[in-house]
Amino acid sequence: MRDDRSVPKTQETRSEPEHKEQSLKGAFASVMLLGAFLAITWIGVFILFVARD
Amino acid sequence: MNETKSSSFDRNDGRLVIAHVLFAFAALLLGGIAGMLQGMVKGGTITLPANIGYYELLTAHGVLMALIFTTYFIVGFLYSGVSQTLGGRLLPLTKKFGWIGYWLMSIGTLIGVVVILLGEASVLYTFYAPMKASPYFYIALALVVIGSWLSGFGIFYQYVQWKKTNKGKLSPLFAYMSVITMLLWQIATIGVAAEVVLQLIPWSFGWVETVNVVLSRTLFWFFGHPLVYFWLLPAYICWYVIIPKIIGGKIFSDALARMSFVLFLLFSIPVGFHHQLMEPGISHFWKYLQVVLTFMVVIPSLMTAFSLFATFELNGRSKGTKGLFGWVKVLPWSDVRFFAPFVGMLVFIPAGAGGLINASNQMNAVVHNTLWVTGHFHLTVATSVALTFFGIVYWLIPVVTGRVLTPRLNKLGIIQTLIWCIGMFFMSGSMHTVGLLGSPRRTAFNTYDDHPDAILWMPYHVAMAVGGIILFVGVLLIIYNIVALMRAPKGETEYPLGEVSEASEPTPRFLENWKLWIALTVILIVIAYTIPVIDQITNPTPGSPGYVTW
Amino acid sequence: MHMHRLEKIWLTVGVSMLVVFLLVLGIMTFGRGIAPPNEHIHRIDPAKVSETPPFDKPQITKIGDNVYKAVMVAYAFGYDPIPLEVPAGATVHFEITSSDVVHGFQIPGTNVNVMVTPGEVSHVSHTFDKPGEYLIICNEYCGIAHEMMKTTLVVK
Repeated sequence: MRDDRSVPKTQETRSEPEHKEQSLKGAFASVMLLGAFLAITWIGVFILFVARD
Repeated sequence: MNETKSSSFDRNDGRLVIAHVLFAFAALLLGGIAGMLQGMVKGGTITLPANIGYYELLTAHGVLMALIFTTYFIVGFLYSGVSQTLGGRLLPLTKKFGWIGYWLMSIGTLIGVVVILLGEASVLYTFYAPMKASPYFYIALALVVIGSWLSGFGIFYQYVQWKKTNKGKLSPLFAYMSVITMLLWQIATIGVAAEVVLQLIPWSFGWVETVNVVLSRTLFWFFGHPLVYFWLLPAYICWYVIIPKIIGGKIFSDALARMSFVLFLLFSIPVGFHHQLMEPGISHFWKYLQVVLTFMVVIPSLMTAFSLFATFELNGRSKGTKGLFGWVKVLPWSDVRFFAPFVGMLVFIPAGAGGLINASNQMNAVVHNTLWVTGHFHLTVATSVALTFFGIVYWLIPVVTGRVLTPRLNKLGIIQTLIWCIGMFFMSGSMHTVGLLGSPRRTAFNTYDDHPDAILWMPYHVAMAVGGIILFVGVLLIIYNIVALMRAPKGETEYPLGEVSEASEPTPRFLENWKLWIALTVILIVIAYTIPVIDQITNPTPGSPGYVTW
Repeated sequence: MHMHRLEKIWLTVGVSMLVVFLLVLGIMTFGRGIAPPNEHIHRIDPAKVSETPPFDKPQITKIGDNVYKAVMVAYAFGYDPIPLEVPAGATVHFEITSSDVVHGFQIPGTNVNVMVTPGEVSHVSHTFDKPGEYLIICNEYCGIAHEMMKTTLVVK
């Protein structure tokens, strides 16, 4: 994989200390809430479907 | 990589952009009038005068909102970003494509609207055969589609030229995403073009007696599903590329953003059967296969959700916020250029949830052709996409016309966004609920001889009418804001292009391997469609003559 | 291409959820026969519906113990035959085609919701446990009187 961005690279290695240092716990919590919403609404309509025979 | 120029936007390119934006909002206004009237009819508040039909209005509403407003705005927005990031100025041939495309689409739109208002094409924007409209309706649509192809060619041409003069460099993110969007459109429209040119035009002129209805629907939905991604992807461009700049943050990951767009290209098209789940003539197997593919196209949206929240969180942390949700505090809530698209993002959560339900194979029976579906797409295109487009306008018009956004206009923008939310809450909320109770979509005022089921629906229809009126106020306000933006004080506004975070991974070059992605797209389409379509052609549904039932 | 650990977890959760949904839907479709309507493809010349059996004589017939077959025709703007009546607990297998444009056939409050496409015959079944007057409506725009297109099924 090559990269030719003109922005200077701050590191060359595969592991990204910066990424790992950066906390993305808030993003994670937010998407998990989103996922829960998807699940709950889907299950709700599924139950309606089954109940209606 | 993102060449944010401090010099002003090219004036000629600006004219091309503004032409598209203004046409789009003129369509929105007309379409909005129709929509409001429809809501009031269903709510029992008005009866239409004898020469205007509900279904005529509905056809105009669908065509103007879902085809014209969207396509024009998208082309204008994409051209602005292509001009800005691929050299600062559109090449002469690009501009030619852009303008010829614009005029072709506009002639088509004009013919189409006239034919609709003459009552010769009350077939709704899906124009399902064997309802047979005037051939000039189909010709009008064909002109719009062909015009949009030319618009796309302009973008492809500019991109190819940029790649030639910037050998080995990764293309700017906005431009890359624009190419994917127009490529998606190009491939998707093949279906509807085939339907219109090979089936409907000859049949509506009377050169051919009958039409294969199942095939026509299949060809339409080959187009009809990716159509919604054609709407969504430009909104995603704003969320990925523009919003980070507006909030004073950075793009979370260039590579993942591009990857999500590649996944959209691959999985938006081979999925049309999920709009045909309740119809005969297509086997369970192919319906289920395309449902599986549909679920795959959810994945790039899941990725996008993470990327956006991550962008917000990293922005917050870089400004010292703490905790899981501290980043909320430092977002520019009072800046309409952020606020309107953000509301679009938020609403995409229930919008997407509804979409997942709609595509769920046999579960579709609960919602098919009910007002739930109408509620769904008023969240997706009429809120997530529309509010994002509205938010864009507050910087786009100033940038391309050499003006500045005033605090007053910004405030009016916030108000317009809130009005939109309130109206949509009432309207779409009621639609979802009454849809689950069975109230059908695309249906004028009725109580089905006062059947108890139908009586139950009425209060919701009234709430929908109220929501629709509030939304119309919102339409008037955005039109006012646009006119005001066109006359805003002169000044310099920078094109707000986000920069990629330094912590972001380098972007792998295989993401620009167009041959690979187009090949995979075609392969997936072949897998999903070849056998059922060949079956529909060689073992066909007996053809139907045309009917004018309105 | 690297992905942050939390994003990997999120996508794993998200995709797993989608897989579970697909498995449930797939098992119901292919294992339990609870599927989208119209498994079998059964065609008819749409211009000759009134001459083609069984649609030349739309009717409900009893074919078993509390099992009925309802052969119906949808047209702009109604359904044949009328009236429709079955006893409570009846299972009705609807077979319906259109003699003109595409119509819908929806019974609100149930999962009966199919497209009736000219040239094709739609099959859908339902067991009517509760007595009452069930509304059957057209939910696919079919013309100027689309909003009036309906019939009722009386379950005694």
